[in-house]
Amino acid sequence: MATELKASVAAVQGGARSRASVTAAQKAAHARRSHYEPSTFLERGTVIPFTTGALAQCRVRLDDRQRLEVVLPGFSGGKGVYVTAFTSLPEITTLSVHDRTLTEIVAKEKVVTPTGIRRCWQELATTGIGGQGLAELAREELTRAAEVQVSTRIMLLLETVRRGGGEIGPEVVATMGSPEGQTQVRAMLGGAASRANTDAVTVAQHIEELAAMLGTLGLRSLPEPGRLRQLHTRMQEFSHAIDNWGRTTVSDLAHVGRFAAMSTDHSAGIAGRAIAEVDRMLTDPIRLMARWDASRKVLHGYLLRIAWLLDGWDYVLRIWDDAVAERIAIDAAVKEIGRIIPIVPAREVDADAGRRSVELFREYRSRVGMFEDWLSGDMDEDLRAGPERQSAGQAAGQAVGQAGEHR
Amino acid sequence: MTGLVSTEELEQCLFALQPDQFLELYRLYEKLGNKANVQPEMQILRRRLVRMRPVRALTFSRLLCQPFEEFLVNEVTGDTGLIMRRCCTAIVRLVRRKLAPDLLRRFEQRLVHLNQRPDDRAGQILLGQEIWKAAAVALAEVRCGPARSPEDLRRRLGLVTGCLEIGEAMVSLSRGIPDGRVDTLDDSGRKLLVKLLRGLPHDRTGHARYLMAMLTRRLENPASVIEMLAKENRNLPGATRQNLIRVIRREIESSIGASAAALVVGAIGTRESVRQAERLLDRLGQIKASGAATPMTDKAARDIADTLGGIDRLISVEALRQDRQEQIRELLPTELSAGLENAETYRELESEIDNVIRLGDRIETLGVDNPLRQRRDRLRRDIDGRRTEMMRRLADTPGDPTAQARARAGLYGLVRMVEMLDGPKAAENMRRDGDRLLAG
Repeated sequence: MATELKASVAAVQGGARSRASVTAAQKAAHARRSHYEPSTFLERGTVIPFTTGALAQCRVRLDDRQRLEVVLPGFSGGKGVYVTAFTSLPEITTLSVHDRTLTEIVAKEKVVTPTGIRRCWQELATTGIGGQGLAELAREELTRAAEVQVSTRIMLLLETVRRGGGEIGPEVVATMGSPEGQTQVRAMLGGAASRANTDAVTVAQHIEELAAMLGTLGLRSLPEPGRLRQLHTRMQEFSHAIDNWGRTTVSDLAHVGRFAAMSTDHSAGIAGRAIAEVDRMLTDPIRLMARWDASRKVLHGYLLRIAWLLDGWDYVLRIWDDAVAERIAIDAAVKEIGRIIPIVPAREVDADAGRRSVELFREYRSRVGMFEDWLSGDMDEDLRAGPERQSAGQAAGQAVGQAGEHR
Repeated sequence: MTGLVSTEELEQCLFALQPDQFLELYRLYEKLGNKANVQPEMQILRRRLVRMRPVRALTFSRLLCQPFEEFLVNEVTGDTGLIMRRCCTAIVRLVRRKLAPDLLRRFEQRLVHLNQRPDDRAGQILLGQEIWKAAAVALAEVRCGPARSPEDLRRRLGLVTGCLEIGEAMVSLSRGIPDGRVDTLDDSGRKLLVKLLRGLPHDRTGHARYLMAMLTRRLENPASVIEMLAKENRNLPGATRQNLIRVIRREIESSIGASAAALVVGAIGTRESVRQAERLLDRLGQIKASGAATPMTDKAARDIADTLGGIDRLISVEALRQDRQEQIRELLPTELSAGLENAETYRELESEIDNVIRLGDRIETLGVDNPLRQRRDRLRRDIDGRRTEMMRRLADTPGDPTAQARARAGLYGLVRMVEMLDGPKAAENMRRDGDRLLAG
């Protein structure tokens, strides 16, 4: 876990140009924040896939004393967040057994990165504790990652042999799934190994490692993309869909739809650039292997960055898909999406994109809902009680008037 | 095209396209229209189009069908006052044949201009008004011969003509209701409805029937319109309000009655039946809560409860295919693929429990006999038996990781079902006991 956290800090630093102040906004636990504008991924935290509705899209992160804490979106639909100790979650709401067990595992392993949390969830969900539907989903995800890994390894082997001056005939390709076929292919890695100043066994090991790293993303050329690559494509589709909805609807929430489309475009654009960088690095596997240590570190950083950038989006897309399938009203879905939509932290990107992030946070804050204080975005209790108080006041006034008349 | 490559291959290629490329391809297909034989491709595209919802080009057929779009469905089951989508082609053909060629050409030219200005809503409505008016006149003269038109169209021609006669009102109301599942009209929707009702032709109740039918179809709680109309004494005369309330009550009764009668499990499968039953029970619950329940709606509630009680097992799962299970076992380590032995049985049980609880709770609120109550008790006894057996066996689980993982998957699957029936606290206790026994 410690290695993963270090790597994630490295990835964070790779994205930003300066060292991120990870715990700047983590001064007190059990606090409500009206202005929540995380500047780094670690400060934003990682979405933890709870099944309890009230805890949807809550994020886990480390506080300044390296203890786990959780950031909960405002329960009342306001823009603020609640920050509390991770262990106190069962005191806030009744957790399902799945969520309680997941809490225990995360607390035990102390993971705060998207990849770590995903691994914990997959291991737990496959046991069926969250239901067989969820177990199947987790197994499908794991199987798919394993399939992508196998296909990636084969494609990388082919490409490496080809770039090493060799050629793999159709008869070898047909037997590549078997151990004999793979031994045959490995024997053809000599040319590539000499170009990378190493031996064939090391090249084969590097390819294995690369394939394992790319299980969630996959290569661009694969017919079945990895989970993150597919999520990225779905984000772009969602952006089109909600933008069209915002432009054609008569709903009061049209502007929220457009805001969601802008945020999606922003995140998808940045993730797209990171994915393109990974694809560029993998176009010449031999060059990558020639500077293995450095390249591996950079690649790992990019993959972690992609995971951070796409973290939290699958829930947003699920809400939208449910609304399109008419299980909930689109208006309610858009309202919920507008509340929880992930915005890329400003210090994780270059200056231009950072400015855009700041603009989006400002746009998010400037939306004033009914009974919300326009400065803080909090629910204004006086305003909310206003009509009742006013009518109560009128009634009292009338009563006084009537009493006066009687007198 | 589909003759050379398989549908699966084509689907894979089309779904692998980037969203922008996909939209470009869709626009090309749309431009080709029915002239090119691209229907199989469009069928494949449709699944992704539903997700992306691109702005569609305005065609004569689309504009013509807008007033009765709410009544279009893919498959009509029973006499639900709906029109099969495939009838649109016949309607458009009829209208085109009846309209003067010059007029038709002028409409087409204006459509081309409108497509260049997609934001010109007023222009669309203006052209629509002319097309709907002309089409209503044309269709009113049509006498569909039995051999020439689909039977469904012959039955629904009156509805189509009526909707076209008040086309603008139908389209405005449809646009005034937010997308997706909506319970009641909001303030602006209410104002719009009153405005539209006041602006209807002299035969206000006759034409309002179509507006009310649309509201019955779109709103989850159409009875809320009754409450709303009852309060509109300043804007609508008393007699009109009474007539409208009668109309919407009749629409609700016929729509609920027809939907309840259409709940034939054998024809649509358990999954779809459960989904439809759930939605119907929700609507009935809302109607009852609004105080608009009638003997007919009560009867529909009893019919639904009887239908559900008559289904042997309320499972809505697609069994995991054997080859897929083996593939998962091959690719995943044992501890992650453990539990597949139980997966199918557990999924069926879970689905049954879930459906019995969800549907049973809804039937309870309607105050009719609940045939699912006994079934729930039976399920609880079954799970209790399994739980006792499981706890007895857990202590004897061998210490190797494979056996432990299998036993844990078996335990946790049952924990989930206990949670569904008895709540998280009982389930958490069971998990802790089970884990303790496993740790040994």
